[in-house]
Amino acid sequence: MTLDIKGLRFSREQFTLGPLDLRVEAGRRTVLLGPSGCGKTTLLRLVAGLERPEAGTISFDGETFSGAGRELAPERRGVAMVFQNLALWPHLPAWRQLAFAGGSTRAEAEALLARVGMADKAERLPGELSGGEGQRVALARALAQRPRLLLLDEPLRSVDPHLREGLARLFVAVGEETGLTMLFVTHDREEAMRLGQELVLLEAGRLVEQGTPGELQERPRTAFGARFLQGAALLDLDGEHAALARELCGPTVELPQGSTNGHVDLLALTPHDLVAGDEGLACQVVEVFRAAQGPVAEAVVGGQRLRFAVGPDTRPGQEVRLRLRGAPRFVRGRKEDIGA
Amino acid sequence: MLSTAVDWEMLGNTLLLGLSATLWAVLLGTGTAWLCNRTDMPGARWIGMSALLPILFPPILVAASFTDLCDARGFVVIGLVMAVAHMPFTLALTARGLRSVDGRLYEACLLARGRGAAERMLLRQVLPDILAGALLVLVFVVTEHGVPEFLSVKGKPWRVYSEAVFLKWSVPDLPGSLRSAEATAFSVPLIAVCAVFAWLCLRARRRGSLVTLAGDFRPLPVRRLGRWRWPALLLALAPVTLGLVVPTWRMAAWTAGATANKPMGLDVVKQSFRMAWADWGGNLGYTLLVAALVGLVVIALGGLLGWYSARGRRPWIEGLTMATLAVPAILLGVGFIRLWNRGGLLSDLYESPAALVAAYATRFLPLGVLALANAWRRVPRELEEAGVLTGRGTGARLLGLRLPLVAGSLGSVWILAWLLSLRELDLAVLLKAGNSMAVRPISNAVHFGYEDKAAALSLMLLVCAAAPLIVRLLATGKTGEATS
Repeated sequence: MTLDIKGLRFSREQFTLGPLDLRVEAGRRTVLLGPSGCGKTTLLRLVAGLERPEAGTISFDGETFSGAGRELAPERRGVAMVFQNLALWPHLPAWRQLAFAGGSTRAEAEALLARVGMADKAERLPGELSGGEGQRVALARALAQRPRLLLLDEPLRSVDPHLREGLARLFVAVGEETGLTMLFVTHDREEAMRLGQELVLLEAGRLVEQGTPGELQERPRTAFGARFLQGAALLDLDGEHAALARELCGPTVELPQGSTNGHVDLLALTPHDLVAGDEGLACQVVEVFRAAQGPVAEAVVGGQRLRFAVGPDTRPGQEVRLRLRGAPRFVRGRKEDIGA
Repeated sequence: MLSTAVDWEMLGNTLLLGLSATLWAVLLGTGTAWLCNRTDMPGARWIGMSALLPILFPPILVAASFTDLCDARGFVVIGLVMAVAHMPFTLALTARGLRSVDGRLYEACLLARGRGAAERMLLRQVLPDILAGALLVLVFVVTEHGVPEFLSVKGKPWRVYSEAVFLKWSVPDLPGSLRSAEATAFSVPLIAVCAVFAWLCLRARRRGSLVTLAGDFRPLPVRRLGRWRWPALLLALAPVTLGLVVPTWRMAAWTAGATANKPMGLDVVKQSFRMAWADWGGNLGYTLLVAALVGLVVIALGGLLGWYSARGRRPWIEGLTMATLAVPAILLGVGFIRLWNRGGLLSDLYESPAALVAAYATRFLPLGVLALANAWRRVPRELEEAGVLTGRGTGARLLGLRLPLVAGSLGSVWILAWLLSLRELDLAVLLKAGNSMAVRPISNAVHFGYEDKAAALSLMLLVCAAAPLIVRLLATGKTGEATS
C-alpha cells in the first residue's frame, strides 16, 4: 500500500511542480508542508487524478495511477479526499452525504457519523453545521468510501483554534484505528508536527526535505527548512557574515568553507541557539516582545534579524553580547536564501 | 440590401427605436432594482417582484392596451411599449448584480473614501449586469416585428428593418427559394448589428459572472431614504403600473365589454370567457404544452452546453449560441420553413409541434446557456470532484448531485423559456404549427376588433403564465429566488 511518485512534473501558467520523487509509506500519516503556492494541493490533486501530470508516474500498491501512457480515472483509484473547502453537497443532510459517497445504508452512515462525534447531527444540512462539524462530516464522508488512500487538504484551516486539537486527535485516532495511508496538506508547521508521522517539505514546486517531525524540527538540512520549520536566521560563512559567524561561534570552532553547485554552508540561528551574556558578538536590541516561553529580543546583525531569549528587564536600545548556546548548526543553501 | 434610401431609413429607425427602448428599460428597470434592493422603500420586496411581471404579457398586448387607453402612437410610444415589455431583463440582472456584491466591499470604500466613492464603486461592480440587461433588451427590440407593425397599422407608421425582412419574404409572386434568399440577404445588416450587441452582451455577462458569492457573504447595507421614501415608492410603481396594471386593467375592461358596444357587466365577462374558451381553449392547451416542452428542451440543452462552457473551458460555446440570438425571429422562422418544408416526412415534421418547439428552443437557447453556464460557474468545482471520487456512476452523480446543485437555476431558466414562448409572436406568425399558439388569435383579435374575447384569452394566458412563478414562490417562500 505504498504511494510511489517518480519524476512527476506538472505546469500551469507560471507555476511548475517537480520533477518530484516521493515515497509515502503504507499505513502512515504523511504531511506535505510548505508555504502557500508551493504546489501541495496540486500534488494532492494529481494523486487523486483530478489533474493530469505532464510527465512521471504515480503508483499505489503496485498499481499505476498515472504514467506510462495510463491514466486511471479518479473514481477507480480507491482514493477519498477531504477538500479544503469541505465540498459538502449543500442539498444533502449529513447522513445522506455518507450514504451517497459510500453507497451505504442509513444505519451504516449514522454509525460512521457517531464515530466522528456527529451522531446527533445526522439530519443537518451543511449550511447548518459549524466549521468543525462540517470537517467531521467531510472526514466521515471520505471514510464512508472505504478508501485505500485518504487525502486531506488543509483539514484544520476552517476550524476555530480551540477546536483544532480535538479534530487533530480525531484524525490521528482514525489513522491508527484504520491503518489507512493518509496524506495531509498544510502550511502550518505546528499542525504538521501534530498530525504527521512523516513530513515532506515543499518549496516552489520542489521537494526540499523529507523526514520524521523530530528530524526536521531538530536538524533541518536546508536553508529553507531551517527558515520555514524553525524560523531561523541565516549567516553565510564566506561572505559578509563570515566575521560575525566567527565571533558567535568562537575561535575554536572550525567553520566549513566552499560551495558545491551554487550551494554554500550557512549558519542557522534560532532563539534557542543564542544566549545573551558578557562576551560574544556585540549588538543592540531593537525590539522586545513576549512569546509563549518568555520575553524574546530582536537585534539586527548583518542585515539579519537575530532573536534570542532575554530577561524581563531588557529594553530596546540596550547593548547585549550574543554567543552560541551549543554546537553550531550548518545547513546547505544558496546565498539568496539568506535574504529570503 | 441597403440599396435604397428607404432601406437605410428603416435600419436607422430600428437602431433609434432600439436605443430609445433600451434607455427607457434601463431607467425603469435599473432604477426600480436599485430602489428595491438598496433602500428602505416601503414594500420594496413586493414591488421588486411585481415589476418583473410585465414579462408575462406578450408585447403586442401591452401595445394594444396603450393604444386603447390614450390613442397613443408613433416612435415614442413604440419605444416605451418595448421598454416596458422588456424592462424585466434590466431589472432582474441589475438586482442580481446588487445581490452579488459583498457588502463589506461597499463598507470598506465608504470608510475610506465616503458615500460618493462607495456608490461609484458599487456602480462599477454592477455595471456589467446593467449592460448585459440593456444589451439583451436592445437585441430583442431591434429584432421585433409585431409591435412596430401593430402600432404602425394603428397609428403613425414607424417602419423597422425586421418588418421589411418579413415583407421581402412574403412577396406573393416570387418562388419560395428566391424569397428566402432575398429575406436572408436583406437581413445581413440587422444580423451584423445584433451580433455586435450579442457579443458585447456576452462580454458584459462574463465580467458580471466574476462577482462571486463567498461563504461568509454579507449583503449590501440598506440606505435610509427618510422623507424621500414615499416619492421613491411612486417612482418604483411606474414600471409596475405601465407594464402590469394598465394591461391587466384594459384586459379586464375589454372582457367586461368596454370595446364591444355592450353594457359592461359580469354577464359580459362570463360570456367573454365562455366564448374565448369555446373558440380558443384548444389553442390555450396547445400553447401551454409547447411552452412547457420548449422550457424542457432549453434546460436540457442549455444545461449541457452551459456545463461544457463552464467546466470544459470552452467559452466559444456561449459565443456560438449567442450568435443565434442575433438572428431575428422572422429570419429564424424563414430558415425553419426552408429547412423543414420540403415535402414528404420533413413536411410532416414541419407541420407538427416538433418544428415549433425546435424553433422556439433555438430562439431562447442562448439565454439558457448563458444563465446555466453562470450557474455552473458558481458551483464550486470541488463539489463535483468530490462526487467523482465516490466512484458512483455518471447517472447517479447527475441525478443525485449535479442537477440538485443547479436546480434553482434550471427552474428559473425553464420559467424564462416558458414565459418567452407564451409571448413570442413573430415565430408563431411564420410557422404553420405556430398558428395555433394563443398569441396568434390574440394578435388577430386586437388587430380586427373582437377584443372582449381576446382579452379573456389573454387573462387566461396570463394566469397560466404566472402559475409556475406562483408555484415556485410557494415552494421556496422567497420572492427573490422565485422571480430571478
